[in-house]
Amino acid sequence: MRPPSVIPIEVADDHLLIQRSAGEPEAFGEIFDRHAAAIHRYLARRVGRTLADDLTAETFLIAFRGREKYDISHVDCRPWLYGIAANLLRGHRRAEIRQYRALARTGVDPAYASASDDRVLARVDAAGEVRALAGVLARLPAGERDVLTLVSQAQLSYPEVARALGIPVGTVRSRLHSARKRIRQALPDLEGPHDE
Amino acid sequence: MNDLDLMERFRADLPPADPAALSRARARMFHAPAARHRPRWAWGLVPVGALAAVVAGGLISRPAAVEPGAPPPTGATAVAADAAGVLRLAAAEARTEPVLPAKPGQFVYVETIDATDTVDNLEGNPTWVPPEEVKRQIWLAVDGVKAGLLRETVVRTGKVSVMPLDAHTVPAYVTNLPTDPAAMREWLSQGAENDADTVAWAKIGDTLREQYLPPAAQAAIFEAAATIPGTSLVPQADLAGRRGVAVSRLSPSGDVRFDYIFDAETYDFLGERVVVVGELKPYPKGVVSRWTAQLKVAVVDRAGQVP
Repeated sequence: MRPPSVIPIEVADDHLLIQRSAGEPEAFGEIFDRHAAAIHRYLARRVGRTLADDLTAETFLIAFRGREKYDISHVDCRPWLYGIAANLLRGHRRAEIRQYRALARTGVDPAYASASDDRVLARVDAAGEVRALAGVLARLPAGERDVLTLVSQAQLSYPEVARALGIPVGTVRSRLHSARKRIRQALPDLEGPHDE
Repeated sequence: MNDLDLMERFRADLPPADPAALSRARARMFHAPAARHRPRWAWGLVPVGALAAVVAGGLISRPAAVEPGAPPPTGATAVAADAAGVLRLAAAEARTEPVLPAKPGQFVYVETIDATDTVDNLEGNPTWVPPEEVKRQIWLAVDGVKAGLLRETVVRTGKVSVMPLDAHTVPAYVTNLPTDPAAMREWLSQGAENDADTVAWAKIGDTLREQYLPPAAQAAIFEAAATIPGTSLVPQADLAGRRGVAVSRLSPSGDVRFDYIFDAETYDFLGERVVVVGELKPYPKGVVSRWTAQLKVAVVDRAGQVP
């Protein structure tokens, strides 16, 4: 709640803001304002909106505390934030898988529930292919799920995913390849891959 | 459509984050205790980050306290005729307060009673557990440099916990806020992508909570609040034994009400509360979800020193 943005901040790149926030913590508020909605969205797509509220707060708390260790050779801090978020998600693997399974089984997606602004605990009846996809996601190895969602949902490039997860780009490629193969096996009607 | 397209569309139509949840997350980032794991639901699920005042009288923790003045009155008949009137009186009252002097190196001390509910058994059969009252005594560096301290005492059991807070955060003696109501109004809704009024309403509480605002900034906040549409007046809203009136605003979904409470006679700011007014599982309708009564704000020389 500290009113960070009263201090006029010219448009600056992420790395400069983070650098400045070492001595001027308020500057980090701008990092939050730029990226919190996207991080929340990514988290909500994996563990549901309710848990995403908490994990978004957690992600930025960790980022804020670690801001002095940020490698300022990287202008864009999104991979760093997504990496923190993906790491936190490991502690909630069971909740994530439970929701995929519920969706696969019933066609109703618990991820849409949010105690803060919805009355309904779960809704949205999913199409058959979405249910099948949820079934695959529930079975994917965690590392493949991280790569798949960071590429397709967070729209990070392979090198950015590599940076987020602290793995080589070659591993990103192989995990993505494997995850896609599993989806296509479960959903044979889908087109083949356009890239790779 | 290929497999990546399907992934890209998967849950792509999820509604965006609740602005109030993001505003709480932002506040927590700057202000969280250094090494403490918050219960998962304390901030995450609970609709609203406010604190509030208990219903009628004292520091009782009546379970599932049903609120006496609950439905927003239509033709309110309090001392001030409407919410905006109460806020303007509160602004006038704030302006009569002297500025609290402080020097770098000193600490802002804030004492509150804070009560937050929980939801148990979330994955299976969620059940609502009423707010538990905790006395919070917080010391935060005037200039944000030295480490702060938080001492919490569970009112019911007397259990005390003391935890160090981060050093090098932001000043707790806030001098950079607008004092002009129009500029303050703009500042309150800054960064809002949609529903700027809801964002502004939440930010009022975030700004008043556990830090020192000079009277001019406080007055500007109340005057700015008076211009936010959609507010109503709850004539009887007692907080921690003090007679109060509440200015209120409903969440966009209409089922949660956010109150700021003022002394019924002096219009001093007393605190906040959050009331569930609609059907919101698993909350019983009409319960207070959170409340906070602000008891004391002072400047002291060391963390841990009680004025």
